[in-house]
Amino acid sequence: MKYQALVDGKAGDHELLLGNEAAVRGALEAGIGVAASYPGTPSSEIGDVFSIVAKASGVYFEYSANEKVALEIAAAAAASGVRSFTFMKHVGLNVASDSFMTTAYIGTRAGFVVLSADDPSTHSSQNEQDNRYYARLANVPMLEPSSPQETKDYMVEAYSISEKLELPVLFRTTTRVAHMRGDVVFGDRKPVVRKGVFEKDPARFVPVPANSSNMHVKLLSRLAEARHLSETSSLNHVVDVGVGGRVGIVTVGSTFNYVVDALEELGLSARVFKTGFSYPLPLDRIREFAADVDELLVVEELEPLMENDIKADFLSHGTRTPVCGKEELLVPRVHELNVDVVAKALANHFGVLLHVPASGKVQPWSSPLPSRPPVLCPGCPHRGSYLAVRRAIRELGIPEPVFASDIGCYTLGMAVPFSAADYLLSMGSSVGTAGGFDVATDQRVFSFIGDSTFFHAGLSALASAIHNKHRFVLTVLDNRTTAMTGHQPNPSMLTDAVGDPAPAISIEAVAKAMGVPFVKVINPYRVAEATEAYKEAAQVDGVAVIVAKQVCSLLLDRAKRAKGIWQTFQVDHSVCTACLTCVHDVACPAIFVSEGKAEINQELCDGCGVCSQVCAVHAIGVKK
Amino acid sequence: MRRVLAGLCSACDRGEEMSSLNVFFAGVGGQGIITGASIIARAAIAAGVNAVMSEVHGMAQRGGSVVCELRLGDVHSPMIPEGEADLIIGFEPVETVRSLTRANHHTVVITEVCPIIPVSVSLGGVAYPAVEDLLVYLRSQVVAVYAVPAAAMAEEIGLPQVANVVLLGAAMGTGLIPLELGTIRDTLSRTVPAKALEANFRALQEGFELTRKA
Repeated sequence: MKYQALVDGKAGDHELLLGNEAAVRGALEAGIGVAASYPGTPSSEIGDVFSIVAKASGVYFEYSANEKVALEIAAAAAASGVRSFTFMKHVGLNVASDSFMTTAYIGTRAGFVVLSADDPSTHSSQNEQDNRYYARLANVPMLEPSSPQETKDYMVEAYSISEKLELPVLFRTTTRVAHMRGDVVFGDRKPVVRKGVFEKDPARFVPVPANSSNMHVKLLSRLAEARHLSETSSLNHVVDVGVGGRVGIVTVGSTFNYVVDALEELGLSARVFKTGFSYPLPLDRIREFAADVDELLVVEELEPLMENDIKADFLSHGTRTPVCGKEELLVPRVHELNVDVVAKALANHFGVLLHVPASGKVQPWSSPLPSRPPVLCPGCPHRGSYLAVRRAIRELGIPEPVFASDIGCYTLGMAVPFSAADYLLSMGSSVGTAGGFDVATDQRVFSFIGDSTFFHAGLSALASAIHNKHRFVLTVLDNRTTAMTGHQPNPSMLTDAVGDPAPAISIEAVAKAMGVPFVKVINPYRVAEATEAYKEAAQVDGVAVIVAKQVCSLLLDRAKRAKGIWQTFQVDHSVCTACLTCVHDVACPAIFVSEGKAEINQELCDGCGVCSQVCAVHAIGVKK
Repeated sequence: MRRVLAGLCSACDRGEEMSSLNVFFAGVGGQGIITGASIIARAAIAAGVNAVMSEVHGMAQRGGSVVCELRLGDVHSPMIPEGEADLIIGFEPVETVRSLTRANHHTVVITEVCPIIPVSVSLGGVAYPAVEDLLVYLRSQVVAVYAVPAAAMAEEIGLPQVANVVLLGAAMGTGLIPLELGTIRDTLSRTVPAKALEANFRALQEGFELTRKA
């Protein structure tokens, strides 16, 4: 079994682990019994690993329909005395936040850890919000590791803190920690407690107004205890770089790595205060630390949160050590930091020269290079759906249609030639915003949502649209998986998170049961039929639902190769008229132009045949 | 203490001590880039050399530019500072050239020569440059460029998926990576399915021979 070492590795063993893999080992060392999640990059690999190791570890793991449900599974399990873990990407915590806020009020019995994987620089997200605000908003303690080893170690510590305070612990990583690989030395695994007993205590667990106002009082007293733990925690410690440093630098998470490397690169000495237990900050210790240095720099990614806390604290205590933060150091409030950005800020502040490679920099390539943005894969079924909807719109002569999009691979349909994503907010927003465009304009609206996203946040929006008599064509791009995050299951599939058989919920049956007047299942690989379906759907006065059902080409290719059935397509150049319709309408990575004519890359072609259907002269056929 | 890698690197004659080795991987999603980098990282850790890696799992499963950064030695950040790559392993010619912002004149470059034409080119974007021109440019900028037909060699071996291991072998052949070839072989034995092991060994060896002789 892949990841066997995570299950039966002993104390002292070590493995090269991704931060996300290390989080799983940490949770296992803490003896968790229940884990639940909804996949989202950069947290997805945590679930991928649990899918494989959960059974062998004696842990219950599920992919819930969305992050809020996942958090609720874990919260209730923890209230029943079972150490529980839920993890999600930063914007997932927005979805879960309604329940998350209340878990702070009612607290927990067994350890309860909520991991948020933030994405500064929006490598794979719609925003780069700083979820450290959530610790402050909910008044819960927060830990932030810098490396895979710390991710593993801090997870164990997080459960202990959660139980001491009877509060959930927010465990915040970022892309550069979650997707950092490094050596991890294991500790011992605590035995798994898989079942507990829920002992009723309505005054504690039911926040009706009579109870909740007292809960807030109690929460603040727990937060004061958390501050005490932070003041004495070994997760907050000083690292001396060089000798005799007279400058103090407070830093956290991956930025700690950049600060240490930048100081070494610049040959500077400094005392670095690393905050692993980063909320509440150990302000007493930071004040003492500041008393021994000439000035205090605060270097942190995104928002100036530690900086503001420290400046306010120093002001109220009359601490005179100058504090330099974002504005003073010119550290940007946007995007992720790195060694270069931090080194530049420090060099500027200390008036030293930046290190330049001794050999000098290279000259860039003189002209623009062809760009290679992410694209729909060869054989991606979404391509057929977009092609069909575009053809139907053209044939019906619909002016200025609006495309309400959603979160998934299919958002890539925003690129030419499809240009099929005009507006996007969040998971499930294609359905709600479609109604808004319908109500506020006379434009026809076409919205697109994936199968997993449909169950995540599309269901209640669809109910709302039907009841409020909105008119739009909703396509559920049902590729039988949660593709973009790495092929996790969803409620429309026959297997669950750990590979066991599970009841599959039919999307078309759900739509019909809700009263959608037009529901049609299409195969997006059959372009003409799909186009006709869209022409029909566009006439419907109400919500029309098209379920474009075709398994993700990456999964299909794997299955075809395993069965030994593989075909590719090729262009017959004696027939090809060089009209390039296949190139421009299909926009498949496997099709390229060679000497003016279309050519198909045999390594990339997956044999879906969509291009052969748009060729007017039938020049594209199966390669013999 | 900073670990000094100099002396272990037979090909890096820079007149300065190296405390770390920075290897930058660039290519296209689906080429086995992260797998390839992980093999070196695992081997390094097995040999007692610290290794940290950074990877960005992009929005699409396939077809977009993918980079992976690997640093050996006593460093904290897994991301390579600008201009500080000691070795660039490019899995596709344009991606190799794109990654040259990470290079300095002493950087050693290994590049696959077979292009993968991006959709942007077919749709009338910037034309794909001649591979020969890309190689001329690379050679004008850095101390050594090894052009490796890794995909073709892997095809010849009979397993196209081992193109990444051909490139790893070529990287080892430069002598820059402070590890024994046997350590890489051991790591492959532990990570590659048994039926593909022979092809992987062959790919490693053929890549190694190619740059060692050069």
